[in-house]
Amino acid sequence: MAVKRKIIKRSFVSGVIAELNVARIVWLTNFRAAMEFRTAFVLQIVGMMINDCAFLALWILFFQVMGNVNGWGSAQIFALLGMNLMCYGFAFGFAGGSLWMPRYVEQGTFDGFLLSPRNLYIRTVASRFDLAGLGDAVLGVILIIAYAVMTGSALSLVWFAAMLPATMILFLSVSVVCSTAAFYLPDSNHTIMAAFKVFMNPTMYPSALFPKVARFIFIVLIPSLTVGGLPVEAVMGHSLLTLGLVWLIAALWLLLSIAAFYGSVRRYESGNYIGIRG
Amino acid sequence: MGLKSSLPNFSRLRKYWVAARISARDSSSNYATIFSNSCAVLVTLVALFSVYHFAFAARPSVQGVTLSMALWSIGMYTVYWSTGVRNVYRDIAFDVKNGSVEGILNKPVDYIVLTVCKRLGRQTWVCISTLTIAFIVLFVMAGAPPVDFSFIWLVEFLSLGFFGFLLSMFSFALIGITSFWLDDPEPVMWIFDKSVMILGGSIVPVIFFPDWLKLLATWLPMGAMISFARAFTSDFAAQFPTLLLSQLLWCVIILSLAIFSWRRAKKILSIYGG
Repeated sequence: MAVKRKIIKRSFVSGVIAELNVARIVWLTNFRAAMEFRTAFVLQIVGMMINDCAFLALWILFFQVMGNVNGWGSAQIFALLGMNLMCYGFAFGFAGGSLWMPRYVEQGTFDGFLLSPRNLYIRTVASRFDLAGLGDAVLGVILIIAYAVMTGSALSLVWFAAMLPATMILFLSVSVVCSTAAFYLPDSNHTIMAAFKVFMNPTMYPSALFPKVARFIFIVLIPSLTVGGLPVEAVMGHSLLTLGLVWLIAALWLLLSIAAFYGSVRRYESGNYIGIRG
Repeated sequence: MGLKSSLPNFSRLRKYWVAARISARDSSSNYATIFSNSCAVLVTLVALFSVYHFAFAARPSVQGVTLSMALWSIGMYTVYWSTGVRNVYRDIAFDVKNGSVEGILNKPVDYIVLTVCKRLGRQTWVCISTLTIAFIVLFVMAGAPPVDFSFIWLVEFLSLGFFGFLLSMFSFALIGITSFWLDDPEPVMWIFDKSVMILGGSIVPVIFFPDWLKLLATWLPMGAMISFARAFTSDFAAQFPTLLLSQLLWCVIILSLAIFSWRRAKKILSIYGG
């Protein structure tokens, strides 16, 4: 019995490693393809970093006008934006396929994923490498380090690192749940992007400035504050409870996204599109 | 005959009107997009306004600005956003990238005007629904607009809105035209769009800006596009001539640049055939 359990465990681990190996090859291929247009490559990364600084500038200006509100000031904005950018950058940098799903379904290229012997969920989300995401991720790391320097707390880096995987999973899970609408609605790309904005836009807002009811809505139902605001609160208060809450919400959304994805895939009708995937 | 020939030939513009109408009718069937866009505006405004309510909770005004003034100014950014005119660049870039621009160029239509009209038509229903939501949220969370309504105020507000709209149209068309030279104009757009976001007062109204930033918001095209948002502040009447002058100046400059770039772009266009 113990031997059987050991074999199952080993095969599960080796299965995950095999999936990640395939994903790594796909990322490398996509990265090389992106490097072909060097001007666009550099412009995208630098452009995205400047783009992100706009939010930083706006919220710093906000706190300069309003002063510190409910314990939040400019330093917390560095952390909030840093956390958001890191999880957005790493999540969509390496797994941008979740938001491309509507296009795969619309164009009929989803057939290629169905025929692949790999895990369908991982294969689909890891199918795109988003260059701009790298710019986000780099700036995110810089901002988090800046926060640690401003507050003189190197320990905060460990706290952020502990929450980063959870927030990345949450980001991807929400995007997958939104994207599954592609299996139900025709020409759904714009609809899905707008639906994703419902989640995405409030992630940039300071969580401590939300009234109680709004906090509940934006932490559990639309988990925007769980990505940025809640982790910053966990770091500020060294709250293991908040850390656990972030992981719990991420786990629940991951399960929901897997269920929604496999449930929706059944509705997919092949477009008989013939092509070769890298 | 002389008078007739000097009048613009409106029948030539009819095709653009028809294109816009067809696009509007086409997009009206996409209820899900209209609904999800309205939800996005609703959630964004409620979240942002909640933050402002919290910040203003213990004080009636900040630097002489009331909560109502701040929220109405911020709300005007949503008005600009809902027109969807910023997406014109994406339409042009898409046509250039996939080569369909060459198919339209040999037709008896102006490609840029056609693209703008199609975009505006496509945006009609989203614009109507998001504006309705935005004004409901504004009235509920900010109350009535904090202005003394008069005919002159209305004319000033609408003229800044109109020229701001023209300025955005020219600017985003110009960014779209850059796709003939750049592999991807998206980064240019990000930088421009975020400058509009800052200088247009999307999160922090221009009235709160320090003097140097206020000056940039007045005299740069990114701020001039949304200067109608300043109509809800107390010194609007005094600022109006400067704001209008800035808009007109940038309209002329950017339109000239767009026409010049478009002519150059047509020269460097490679037709692959097919």
